[in-house]
Amino acid sequence: MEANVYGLDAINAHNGWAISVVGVTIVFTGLVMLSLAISQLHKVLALWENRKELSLFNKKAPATEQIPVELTPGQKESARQFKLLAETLSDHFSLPRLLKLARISGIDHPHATLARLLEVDIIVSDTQGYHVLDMAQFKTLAS
Amino acid sequence: MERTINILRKSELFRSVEEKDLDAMGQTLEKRTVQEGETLATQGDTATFFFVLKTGTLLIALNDGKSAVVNKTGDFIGLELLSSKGIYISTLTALTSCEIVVIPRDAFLGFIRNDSSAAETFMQAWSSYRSRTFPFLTEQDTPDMDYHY
Repeated sequence: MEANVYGLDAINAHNGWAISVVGVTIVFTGLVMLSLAISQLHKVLALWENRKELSLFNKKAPATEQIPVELTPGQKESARQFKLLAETLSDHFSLPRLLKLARISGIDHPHATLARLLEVDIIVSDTQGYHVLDMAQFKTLAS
Repeated sequence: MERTINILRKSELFRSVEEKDLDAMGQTLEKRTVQEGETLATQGDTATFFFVLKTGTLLIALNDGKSAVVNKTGDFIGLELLSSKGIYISTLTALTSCEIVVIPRDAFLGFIRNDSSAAETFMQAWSSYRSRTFPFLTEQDTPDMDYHY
């Protein structure tokens, strides 16, 4: 029969040291995991903030054939007017000068039309700061 | 609503710049929408802003009738492309309606004057981007950046 024991003897007799070590380990492990989670929280928030850019959340667009470039009848008419104006300038012409002529001539939405002609490669850069008319592309799209 | 800094992040020029450096410059960053035909900078005016394109198409009219068109997200319109000695040397016009980020010139020059690896990385990226995108732009020797830009 076990006699009444007190103090350190009681701790020894009832595995007190082992229990306290386990307790301390559990608490510290919990604290370490909590601090790791908090330290990585900014990454989770950044992911959440940019979630629209993540492919994971974006539905994959079905593979489609490339839509052929087309100009509306209005854009074709404007393209023809731009061509006439460009022909009054040199082969390698200044884009701001062409835009100015288009505005003076009263072409509808000269800025947007010019952007469209650049987009569809009817007007292309010569890489030296000037632009040229791509006649093959013009005939394909605007004739 | 997308954060202004995230728009800069899409630019190959700003990608390597740390957020704290962008924050330092970015207290005064501003997002703006401009309409087709609107002029953002006029040649001869005092240069107060540089620009980063989010969407749309911009025409940069340089000297001698030369010009450049930018239409990619993150395209940067600033430094010797836009100003010299504190004066705009180009006229910047929106060809379509555009969303842009406006960067105060002084804040930007403060950033590149800063002797940090971020500023150095930016200038290297800019040099490569400029020679690739605007090969006709004359190279400037820049012993004093404030003076030149």
